[in-house]
Amino acid sequence: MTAKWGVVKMKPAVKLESLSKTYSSRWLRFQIRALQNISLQILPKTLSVFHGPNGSGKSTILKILATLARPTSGKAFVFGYNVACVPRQVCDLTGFLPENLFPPSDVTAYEYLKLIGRLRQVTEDLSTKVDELLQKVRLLRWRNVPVQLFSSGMQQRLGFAQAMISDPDLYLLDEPLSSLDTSGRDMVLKEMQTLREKGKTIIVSTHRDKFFRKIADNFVLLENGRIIEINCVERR
Amino acid sequence: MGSTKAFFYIIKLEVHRILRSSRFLVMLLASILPMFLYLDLFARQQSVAIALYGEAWFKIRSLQVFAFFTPFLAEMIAILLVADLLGSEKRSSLMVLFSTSSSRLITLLGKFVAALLLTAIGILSSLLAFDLLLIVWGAPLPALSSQLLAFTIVLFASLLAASITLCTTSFLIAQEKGSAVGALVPIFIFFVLSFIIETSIRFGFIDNTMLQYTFLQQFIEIQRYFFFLNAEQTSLNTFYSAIGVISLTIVVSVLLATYVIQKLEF
Repeated sequence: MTAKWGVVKMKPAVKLESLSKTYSSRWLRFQIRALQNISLQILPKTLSVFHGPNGSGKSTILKILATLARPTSGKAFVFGYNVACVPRQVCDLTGFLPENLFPPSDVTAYEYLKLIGRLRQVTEDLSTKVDELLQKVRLLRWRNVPVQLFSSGMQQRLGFAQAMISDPDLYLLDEPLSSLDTSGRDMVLKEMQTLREKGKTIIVSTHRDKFFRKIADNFVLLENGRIIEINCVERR
Repeated sequence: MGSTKAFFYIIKLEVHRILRSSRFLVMLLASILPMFLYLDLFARQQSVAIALYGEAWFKIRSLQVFAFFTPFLAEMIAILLVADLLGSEKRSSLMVLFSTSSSRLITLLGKFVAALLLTAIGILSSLLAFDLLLIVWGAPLPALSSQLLAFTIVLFASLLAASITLCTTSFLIAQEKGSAVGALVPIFIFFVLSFIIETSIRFGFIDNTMLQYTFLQQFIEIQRYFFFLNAEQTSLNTFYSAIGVISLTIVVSVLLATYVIQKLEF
């Protein structure tokens, strides 16, 4: 299924062309078709939600866009860059939050964010930037506490902060609301709205699409690696 | 430039992370205590040994003792450190590290170098314990250059152990297995295999030539090339062959690990 939306002719932030991904193993004799011929365009400055049952291919799309998996066939583009050909440039433009992030033990929240900032080659004053982000996700007073002492919700907020460290143009968030309490959830949702208002593009993969109904621009329903339904919400 | 900064920051962070955990204290004690026990027995008999064989003999003998026993511990420390620094990373954490614009190689080598630096600290502590014991018993200290040579040999042994662990751990990460298991293969190669061969020789099941298939024997050859008594010096050919086998294993292991990590998909 090919899906396009947006009335204004803009360059898409994300473009998927007949994207397929198969996980297989000769040894264990299995073959899973995670994505089957997916074509899609997502405009910049939008919040898109991929939802669907387990194993429908939501996370696989995010992993391909984050250069962590290679498509079996088809192409994926991020701001015009082919993900398979120029992964470094794509990584520069994206911030990725995996599902259930467990940062390494014996590292403080501050050190962890600084590490990701260094790896993402953030050029501005990193210490100030890290403190700002910790303030934003309400972890500043836990700045020097080893992350293994954090609750799962706090680790999730830290994960959200690391995705924002390089101020990327595209956010790829896999289950960003999991393990969060009500206030944490509201904080993350509000931050996503702020990011979109700043012109960022956000793609979320989730089972709990109901939390995004008020803020998302597009809903993409996936099942068995195929797009089943696309809903665009007119908000302006 | 940014990648270089990231590389050094990973080393700094990983070294700090281990140094402030109780694990390193345990490793350090493990590397020093056997040294104390063994050298205490050796150094306390120094006056008899010096009277019988002379001071030069004693200095070389004590270096041989150091260069033979320390690699066992240093290898163990290197194996556990690499397994801990790389293997204990959760998959989601690796995903974050590898979704950045810095090369995956930077993360891999940063952790590897950090493990080596920490092992070097362990070896240095062993060396200090060694000197301290000789001083306490009033025994003559070997020359500083010879001590540095012994340190280098032990570090070389740790580099080999760390490289093999890096390779096995990377393979296990790629197979989505608990990668602390990656330490089992080098432990088998360095300890179990040597033990089996040594024991088999002792019981007469196999002859001495089987020893050449152990890294332990290769290191003994290297050590005997530098620190030798009477006519037991290793020939130049055997020395080069030992260096070649070990260097090749290190290069192949690191290249394989790099390839596996670069190709890794989640």
